[in-house]
Amino acid sequence: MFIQSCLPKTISNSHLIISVRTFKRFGEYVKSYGYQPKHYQGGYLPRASHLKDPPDYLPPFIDPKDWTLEAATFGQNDYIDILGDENVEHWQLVRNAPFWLRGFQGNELQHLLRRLKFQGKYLEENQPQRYSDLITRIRFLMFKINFKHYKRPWLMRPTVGPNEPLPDYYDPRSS
Amino acid sequence: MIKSLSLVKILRQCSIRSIRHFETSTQPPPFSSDPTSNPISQQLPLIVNRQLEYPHVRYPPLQAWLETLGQKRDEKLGIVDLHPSIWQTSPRLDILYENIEWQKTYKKIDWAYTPPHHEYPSMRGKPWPQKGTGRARHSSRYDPQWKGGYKVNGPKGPTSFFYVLPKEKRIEGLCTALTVKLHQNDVHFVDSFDLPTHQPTYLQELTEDRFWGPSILFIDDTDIMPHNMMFASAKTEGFTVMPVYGLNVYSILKHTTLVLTIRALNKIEKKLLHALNSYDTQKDQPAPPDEP
Repeated sequence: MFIQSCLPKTISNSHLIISVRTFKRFGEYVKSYGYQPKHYQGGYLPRASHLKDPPDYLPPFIDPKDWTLEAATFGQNDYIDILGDENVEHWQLVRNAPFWLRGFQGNELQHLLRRLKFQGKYLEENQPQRYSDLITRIRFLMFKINFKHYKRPWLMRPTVGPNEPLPDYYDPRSS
Repeated sequence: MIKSLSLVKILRQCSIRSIRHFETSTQPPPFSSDPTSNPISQQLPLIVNRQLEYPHVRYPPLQAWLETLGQKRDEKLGIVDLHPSIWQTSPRLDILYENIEWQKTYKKIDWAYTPPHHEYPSMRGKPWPQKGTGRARHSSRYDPQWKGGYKVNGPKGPTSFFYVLPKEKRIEGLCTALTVKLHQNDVHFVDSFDLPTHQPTYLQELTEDRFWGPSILFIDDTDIMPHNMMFASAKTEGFTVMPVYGLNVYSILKHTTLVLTIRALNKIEKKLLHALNSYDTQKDQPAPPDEP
C-alpha cells in the first residue's frame, strides 16, 4: 500500500510526490521507525549577528502632501510679467539653481563652458581637483564632438562661410 | 452663473428703490465690517455696472452672480458683467497643457551626477594577468561592466531646463483657464474678503453649505489681506490666498474653485485686455547677465 508521507514536509516548489510504503502501529501510520534525526527540527532561527547580512527594508514612505504651502502655491509668480510688474524676468524667479545656470539652457558642453566662465578662476585657486575635472571633461567633449564618430560624407550638408554667397542650386546628393 | 436671464426680469422680481453703480477705478467697498449690524443693509440688488474696455465685436458681456462671505446664508447681491474675450474663449486644451508643462519644467534643476572615468581611482592597474588565471580578462577594476565602476553616458552635473513661453501663449492660457472654470460653475465673485469672525469653522461651514469644493483659491487685488481671512485660510487645508499677480494656470486648475473679489476682477481684466489688444515689439525677454 502506497500513501503520501505525512511527516513534516520541507517547503519546495517541486511537484514531486513521494509515496512510501508504511504500516499501521498504534492507530497511526509510521515511517522509518526508530530513526532519530540529528538535524535541527525547530522553527526559524534568529539572524546571525556575526554575518554581514543586514535585513533589506522597504524604502520609507514619503507622504506627497499636496497641500503644504509650497505645493499649494506652486507656480505662483510665473505670470507676474503680465499681471504685475513688467520688468520682472523669469530667470530671477529660479531660486534653486546654481548661480551659473539661472536663465540658461543648453547641452552638456555649453553647461560646462558656462561654469568655467563663471567659476573658473575661483576653482583654479581654491578647488584644484574640481577645476581639473572640469577642464578634462571639456577637452574630452571637444575632442569627441569634433574628431570622433566618423561623419558620413553623403549626409554632410555643404557649409558656407559668413562672407560667401549662397549657391544657386541645391544638390540632392548632399543630404 | 446665468446665461439667459435679462436685467428686466430681475428688476421685476425684486422691488428695488435705487441702483448703486461701480466704476472700473478702485473704490472702497460699500459694506462696513461691523459684525453686529446686518452686513447687507443697502438696497438690493446691486447691479455692478462695470464699463468694459475694448468691447467685443460679436459677443455681449457675460453675466455672473455677486455673492458675499459676510453671512452664511447664500444671498446674491447682484450681477456682474464679464468681458467675453477673457471669459468666453475657446477651450484650447493644448495651450493649457503647454502652460502647465512650462510652469513645471522651467524651474527644474536635475542634480543627478555620475562621475566620468577620469574622476575614479587609478585606472592603470590590471587586476590579474591576462593569461594563466582561469578568470576573464580585464584591464582595470573600474570598467563599466564591473560593480562599482564608472557609467559611460550617465547624467552629468546640474542641468537646467529653462525656457520662457511666449507671452501670447501665456495670456491665452490664462484666458482659457478662466473660461473653463467659469463654464463649469467653479468661479464665484465676492464683494470683499471681510469675515465677521476669525474662526476657521465659519468659512469651512460656509463653503460646505454652498458646495464650493474642497480646495479654493481666493484672489484679492493686493498682498495685504484682512486678518480674519488669513487666519481662516491658514488653518484649513486646501484654502490658499493669493494676490492678482500670483495668478497662474497651474493653481487655477489645481484648486477646484476660484473666488475673486470685484477689485481683483477689475485689475485682471484691465491687465489682460491691455495685453490682448496691444502689440509687443519686444518679443523675447532679455537674456540674463553673462558676467560672473
